[in-house]
Amino acid sequence: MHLLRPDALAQRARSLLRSLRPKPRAQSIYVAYVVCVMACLYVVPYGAVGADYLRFLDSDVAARGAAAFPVAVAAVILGLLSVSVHDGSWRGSVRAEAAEIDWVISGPLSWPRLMMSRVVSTALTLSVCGAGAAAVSGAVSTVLRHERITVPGIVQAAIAGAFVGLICCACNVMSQVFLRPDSARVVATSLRVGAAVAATVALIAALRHQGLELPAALWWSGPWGWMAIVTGDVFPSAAADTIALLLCVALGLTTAAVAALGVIRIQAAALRSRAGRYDGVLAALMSADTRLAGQLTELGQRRRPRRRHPPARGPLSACLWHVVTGWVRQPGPPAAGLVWVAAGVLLPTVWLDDPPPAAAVGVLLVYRGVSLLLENVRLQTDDVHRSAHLPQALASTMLSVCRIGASVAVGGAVIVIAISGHLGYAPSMGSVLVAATIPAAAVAVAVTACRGQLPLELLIGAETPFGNSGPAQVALWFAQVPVALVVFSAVVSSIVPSATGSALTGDNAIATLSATAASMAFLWVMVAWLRGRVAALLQS
Amino acid sequence: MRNLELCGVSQRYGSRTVLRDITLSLKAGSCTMLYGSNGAGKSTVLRLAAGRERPSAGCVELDGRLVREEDVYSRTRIAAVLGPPACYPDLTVEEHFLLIATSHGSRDAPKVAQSIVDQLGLATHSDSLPFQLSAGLMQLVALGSALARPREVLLLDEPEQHLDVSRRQSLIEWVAEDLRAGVAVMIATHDPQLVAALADDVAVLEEGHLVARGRPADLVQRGGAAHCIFCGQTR
Repeated sequence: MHLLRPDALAQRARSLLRSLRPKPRAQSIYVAYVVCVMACLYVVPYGAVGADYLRFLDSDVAARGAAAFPVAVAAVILGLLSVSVHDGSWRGSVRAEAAEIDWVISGPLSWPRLMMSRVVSTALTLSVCGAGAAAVSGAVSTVLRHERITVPGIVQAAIAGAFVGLICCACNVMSQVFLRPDSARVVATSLRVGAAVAATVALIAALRHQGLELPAALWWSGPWGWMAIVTGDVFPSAAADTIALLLCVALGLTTAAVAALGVIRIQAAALRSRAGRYDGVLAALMSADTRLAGQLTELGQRRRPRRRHPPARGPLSACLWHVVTGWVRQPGPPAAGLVWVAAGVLLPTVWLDDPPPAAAVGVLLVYRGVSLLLENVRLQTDDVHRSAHLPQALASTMLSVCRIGASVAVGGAVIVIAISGHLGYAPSMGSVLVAATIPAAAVAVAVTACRGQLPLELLIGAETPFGNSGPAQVALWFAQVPVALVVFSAVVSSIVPSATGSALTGDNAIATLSATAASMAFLWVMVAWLRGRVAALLQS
Repeated sequence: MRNLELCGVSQRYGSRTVLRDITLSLKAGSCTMLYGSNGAGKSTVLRLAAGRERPSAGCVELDGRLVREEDVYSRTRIAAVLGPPACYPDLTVEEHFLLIATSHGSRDAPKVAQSIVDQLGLATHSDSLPFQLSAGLMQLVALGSALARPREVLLLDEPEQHLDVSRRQSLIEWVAEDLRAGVAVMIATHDPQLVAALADDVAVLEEGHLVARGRPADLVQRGGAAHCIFCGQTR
C-alpha cells in the first residue's frame, strides 16, 4: 500500500482545500455584475422617472411610474430570490436529487447535457414565474388605473416579464464557475437564443400589424418596459419600445451565452460538497418545489423543539387537526393556494369582455389553488396504508380533507368577492360560477391524487396522419381531471349565457341557481369518480 | 369474544397460486404463529386476514362479517402492522399516536400518546419527523400505532425486524399484555424466541400449503415435514 509522507499529504490536502476556498476576485466580479443588472433593471428607470418628475413636475410621468410600481415589487422579489443566492451559486436541483445524480454519474448519460437540461428547466420555470407575475401585476396595475384589461396587453406583459426570469437564471448560472472561452459554444448558444428572440419580435410585429398598440403594455412589467421609459425620452415613441426590446435582448443574450459556457464545467461532486441546507432551500424555491423546500427547512430545524398545536378534541376534529398541523408546519403552499383561488374568482369580474374563457381559466386557477390547500390528500394516496390505523376508510378520509380545503377556499372566495364589491367592482356571474365550482375542484384534486401509475400501453399509442398518438394520450391522461373541469365550466357558461357576461343582480338569480346546481351535479360526479379510483387504488 | 376465521382461502396472482385452501381460526386471547420459509405465504395470509386483499377463493370473516379494509367494522377492530412502516411525513412520532388515539375516540388521547412514547422508549424522538428516524425506530412507531388504538385482533408481520434485544423482549411483553386483555393475535415470524414465549398455536406453511398446525411442543414431537421446517427454522 502506497503511503504519502506527511509533507506530501499536507500539500495534497492544501490543493484539495484550495478548490473549496472562496474566490474573492470571482465573488467581487459577481457582486459588481449583480449590482449592474439590478441597476439596469430598477434603479435607472425609476431614477429617470424621478428626475423627469423633479425637472418638469410632469404629473403624467409620475403617474406612469406609480402605475408600474406594483409590478416592480413583484419583479424585484423574483429577481432577488434568483440572484441573491449565497455565494452567487446556482444549485439547480442537484442538492435535491443527490441520489439521482449519483446514479447519473455512474451511468451512460452525458453530464453536460444533463446540466444544460437543468439550466433550461430552471430558466423556463423562472421565465414562467416572471411572465405570470408580470401579467397578474400588470392586470392589477391596469385595474387600479381604471382601464380595461385586454388579452394582447397581458400577453405582451408576460413576454416582458419572462425576460426577468431569463436574466436572473443566467446571472446565477454564470456565477457558478469561472469560465473559459469556447467560441463554438458561444456562437451556437447565441444563434439559438437569437432565433427565439427573432420569433418573439416577429410575434410582436404581427400583433402591431393587427393595429394593437404596444406602449400600453410597456408600463406593466419587465426590463423591456422600464428601458422604454428611458429610451422614450431620447427616441421617437414609435422606435422607443423596439430599441428597449433590443437592449433587453442584448442583456439576455450576453448572460445566456456566458451561462451556457459555464454550466458544463460545474462539477457534481463540488456542488454536493459545497451545497448546504440554505442553498438547498433556495434551489428548491427556485425550481418552484415548495414541498422540498419545506422538507429541507424542517431538516434544518431538527434540533429545535417541534411546534406544539392544541390537540384535537374528538374523532370528528382529528382530520381537521391533521390538516391544520400540516398547514402550520408548511404555511407556504396553503397561502399560495388562497392567492390562486382569489385570482381565479376575481378573473371573471375584471375580464368582462370575454366571459366564457375567463370562467374556464378561473376554474383552472381555482383548481391549482385548491390543490395547494389539499397537500394532505396527496399524503394519503402516496401510500394508502398510512391511514390503515384510522377508523375511517380511505375514501372517507380523503373526502373529509376535501371538505376542509373546500371550506377554507370557499370562505376565501366569499371574502374576496365581498372586498371587490366593496371597492366598486360588482361581482360577475362568472365569479359566482367559479366559486360554486370550488367543492367539485377539491374532489377533482383528490381524484388526480389517486390516479395511480401511468398505464404503459398509453405510451405506445397509434399511428395517425399527425404522427404517433402516444404523447397526446399521455398528456391527456395526466390532465384528464383539469380538462374535465374546463369542459364543465365551458358547457355551463354556454348553457347559462347570462351566468358569466353580466354583473350579479336580482334579474339573473335563475342563472345563479342553474350554475350552482350544475356545480353540485358535477361535484356528485367527482365524488363517484373518487370512490371508484380509491377502490381501484386499494386493490392495485 | 371475537373470532377471526379464514375459511378455505386461496390466493392467486395471475397464474401463480401462492395460497391453497387455508383454513385458520383465531380465538380471543390466543396467539397463532405463522411459520415457514421465505415465500411460503405467511404475509399473504396476514394481508388477507387484515382485509387488504380479497381472496381468490374462500372467505375471511370476523364475527360472521366479511373482512374488508374499507369496512369500518373491520378497521375499528383489526390492528395490523404489515410490511414497511407507513407514516405521515408531516407528523412527529407523538403526533402520530395522538392522531390515531383521537380518531378512535380515546377519552384522553394526549395521555395515551405520551404513555406509548414512554412505553416504547421514544421520549428522545417524540418530536422527530419520520424521515429523521432509523429503521428500528420506524418499526417501533409502527408498533406504537397499533398500541395507540383499540383492537380486538392484532396482526403482526415479522414485528421483531430491526429491533434490538431489549426491544424484542419488550415486544413480547406488549403482546402478552394484549393476550391477557383478550386480543386475538396472529404473528408471522422467524424468531424462535417469540414463538417460545407467545405461541399457543403454530401454523406451518410451505409453498402456500398449511402443512401442520398445533402447539409448538406437539409439532416438535410429531416429526415429518412440518417438524423439519419448524425445527430447522427454530434451530
